[in-house]
Amino acid sequence: MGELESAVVERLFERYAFQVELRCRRLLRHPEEARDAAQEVFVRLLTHGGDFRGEAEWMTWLYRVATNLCLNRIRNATRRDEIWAETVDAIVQEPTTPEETVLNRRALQSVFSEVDEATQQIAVLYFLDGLSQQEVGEVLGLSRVTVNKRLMKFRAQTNARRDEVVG
Amino acid sequence: MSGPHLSQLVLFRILAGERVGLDEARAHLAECEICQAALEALRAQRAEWRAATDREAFLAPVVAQVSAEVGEDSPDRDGPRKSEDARILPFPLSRWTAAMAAAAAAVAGLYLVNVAPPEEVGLKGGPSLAVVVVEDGRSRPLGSDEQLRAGDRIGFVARCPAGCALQLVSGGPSPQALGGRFTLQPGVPFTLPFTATLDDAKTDEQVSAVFCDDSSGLAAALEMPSGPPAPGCVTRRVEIRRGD
Repeated sequence: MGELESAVVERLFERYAFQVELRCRRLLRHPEEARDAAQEVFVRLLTHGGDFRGEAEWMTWLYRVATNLCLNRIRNATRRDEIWAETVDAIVQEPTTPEETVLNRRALQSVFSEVDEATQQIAVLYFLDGLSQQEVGEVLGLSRVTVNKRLMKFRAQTNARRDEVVG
Repeated sequence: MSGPHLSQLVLFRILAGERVGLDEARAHLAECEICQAALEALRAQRAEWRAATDREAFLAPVVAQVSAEVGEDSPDRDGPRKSEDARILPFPLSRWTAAMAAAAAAVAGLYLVNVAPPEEVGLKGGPSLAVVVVEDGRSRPLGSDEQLRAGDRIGFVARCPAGCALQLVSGGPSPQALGGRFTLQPGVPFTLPFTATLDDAKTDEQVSAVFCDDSSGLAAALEMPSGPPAPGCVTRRVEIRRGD
């Protein structure tokens, strides 16, 4: 590695590595897997950073990449249900909006693991991370209206599932 | 303090030292003890993380993986297997690695070169590529007859009137992709976010820019970088003349 290039990568590390790994740890709930995922995010940064179009700052871009990567890993994980259960616990224990307190834990967990990728991303960013709909849109490159529609659909699915569970 | 508290993402951005679009958040932070405490907690957590994390151990597998991926992506990946050193240093233009070219490409926000105005570097008409010489963090157009020496640092500026996908490719018998692929906005000069420091090679060199209407065309064009232009693509070449 040449001098300049070392400096560039090290600067990236200093500015973003901690946040990326913390982000991954929050989703994957496992320190070693979070480290591995964070390193993969850095690989993507260094190989696909040219795709970055300047629509957001680097941290926002990294947040999106880390979120997508971790959700993909969760989908393929053998302990998928366990991770979603812990995620739902975190949402229920620290509700980001009052309505979440009444969402049924089992229903929420079930819907989280079933919805499409885009809805899953939106739901995680909104319910788990407490981002506003505007912020969710900025991270994912979607309009606030689209985010709102997806959240309404997610809520409807959760309510329907809760009724099934209760019923 | 009124209004919602800062999200984790915003706190992450502040922690990273980002500034763009954070005026409101910083104003909130100045007034909100809860958010101040959250940011301080993150700072403390980061300090602990840094103390416990071996930077080299973190980055080593990253660099290895990037090197492997960039090597696999090169246009002549189906050609004869090169030595490890040749793969890492595919381009005599400089002693940078392909992987690190991509690394530099990834940090546009961190490593900006103050580039000369586009009309000065010759970006006119259709898709175009220009070379700039970087000195003391500023750039100037490369003179038409100018010869460059070892240690000179150069950068690239491109423009595409209708917007397009762009990939730089090294010249020579085994062209290789340099840096990442970029999407150019219509008519907006784009400074490629990396530079190269020339090595002590004596021969002139070429760098090509492949401009395509979309990235799928770019992939097709890069399959045959020395062949006829792929549909929807044009290639522009610039000479790097070397002197003593």
